[in-house]
Amino acid sequence: MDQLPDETLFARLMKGDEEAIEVLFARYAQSLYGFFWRLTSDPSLAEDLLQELFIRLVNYTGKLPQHFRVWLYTIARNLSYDALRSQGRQQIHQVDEFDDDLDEIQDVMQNGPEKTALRRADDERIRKSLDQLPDVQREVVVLRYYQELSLEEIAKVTKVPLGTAKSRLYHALELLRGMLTREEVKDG
Amino acid sequence: MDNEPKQSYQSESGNFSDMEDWEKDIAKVLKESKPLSLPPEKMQALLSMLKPMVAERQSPPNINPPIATGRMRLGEFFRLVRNQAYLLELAYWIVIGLMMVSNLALLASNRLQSLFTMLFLILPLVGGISMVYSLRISHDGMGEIEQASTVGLKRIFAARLTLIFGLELLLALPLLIYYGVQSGGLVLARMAVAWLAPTVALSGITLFLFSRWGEWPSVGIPVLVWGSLILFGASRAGFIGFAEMVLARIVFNPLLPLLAVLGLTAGLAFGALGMRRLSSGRYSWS
Repeated sequence: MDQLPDETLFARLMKGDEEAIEVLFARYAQSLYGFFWRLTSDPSLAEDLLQELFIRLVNYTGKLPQHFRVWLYTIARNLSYDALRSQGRQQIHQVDEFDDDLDEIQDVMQNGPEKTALRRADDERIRKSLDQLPDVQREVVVLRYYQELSLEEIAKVTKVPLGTAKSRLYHALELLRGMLTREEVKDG
Repeated sequence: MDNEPKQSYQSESGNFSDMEDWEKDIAKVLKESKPLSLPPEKMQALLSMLKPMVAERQSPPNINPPIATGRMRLGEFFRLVRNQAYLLELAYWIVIGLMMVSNLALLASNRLQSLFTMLFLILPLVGGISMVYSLRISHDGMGEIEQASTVGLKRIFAARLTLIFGLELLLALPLLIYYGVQSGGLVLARMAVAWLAPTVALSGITLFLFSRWGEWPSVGIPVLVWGSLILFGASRAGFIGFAEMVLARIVFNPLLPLLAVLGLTAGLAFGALGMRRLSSGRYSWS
């Protein structure tokens, strides 16, 4: 069962196979939770959205999707935006204090300030930087590097041409570089 | 629209060979950062909530009692046909009766050949419409009785089909006999084919349309198409008269056997598709 493609599992789920939901859940639940969390920056909302998404999946009665993963993330993305819209997009950012120490100074001496800044970026800082990206760029980064979708899949999920998806990713990375290195220098 | 960057970004996840150094660095940093994860107990709780919902998706239990699967005796089958005939309303019997009387009156008068021919040509439509009529869904509670019947939907379906084709044959028979007596066996055979093939074709197509889109399209489309063909033929009759032209086409057209085979095949194929859909147990016909 673990080896079956998503589409087959989903077809089985639609016929009431409980094992299929277990496998799909194991395959996607944490990843989707991370996706929701990164898009909404709200763990509690991410949990609600994850539940909402899986309830939709198990109650789905339409046509079997051809590309399950793309279809799944399309729904997840729509749910995220609906939720953000209904909440007036109020996000809470918690900024941790960043430490600097001797290692960091050594890093700067060896690798240059920008590389060191990137190497030292911790999870919270990355999340904070991601939060500051425009929605359309953040979702592309999240889908690409955390959900590991191909650019073609991202283009389908976000309903934009492939070139636009690439362009958004490029500009997002540029912005992130600026933010991460600037933050580090400021904190340093 | 955003500007197209020069990088291709075609690399699979984790392979940054086609990216510049700074992009690789950013991508690596991003990939290394851990997302927040939902605690296992919450995951388990959610999965436990979902499982019963999935189980509910299993096909609903068949509400039909076990259906008799043995061979049905001919007498039993005709009793079933007779029982099904009670479901046809008085208005339907009046229409069929009027058609039969018209048939016989026209034959007896041996005049008004065009009307006579027209009647012959609309018989396939009558068959198709009767089919829809006998299978239509109304809200008189008969659906539950059908569903609960031990005879089974397929046998009820076969009984109604037999009933409709029986009536259709009854209507066509005087006309066929008339032509047979007038012109001999070959003409009778060709006339029979000219009646049977369109009847089967239109009934099958009507049944299929009915199974897919319900009553109105299944009646409207065949009436429109077949009616247009009749009117088109009538408009081209010219001085020889409509009846004579139709008769000549039926008797002398070398393509008639081929067209008949095509019509029969299409009718049987569409009919089988429609029947399979209607007999799946999700429908009731009364």
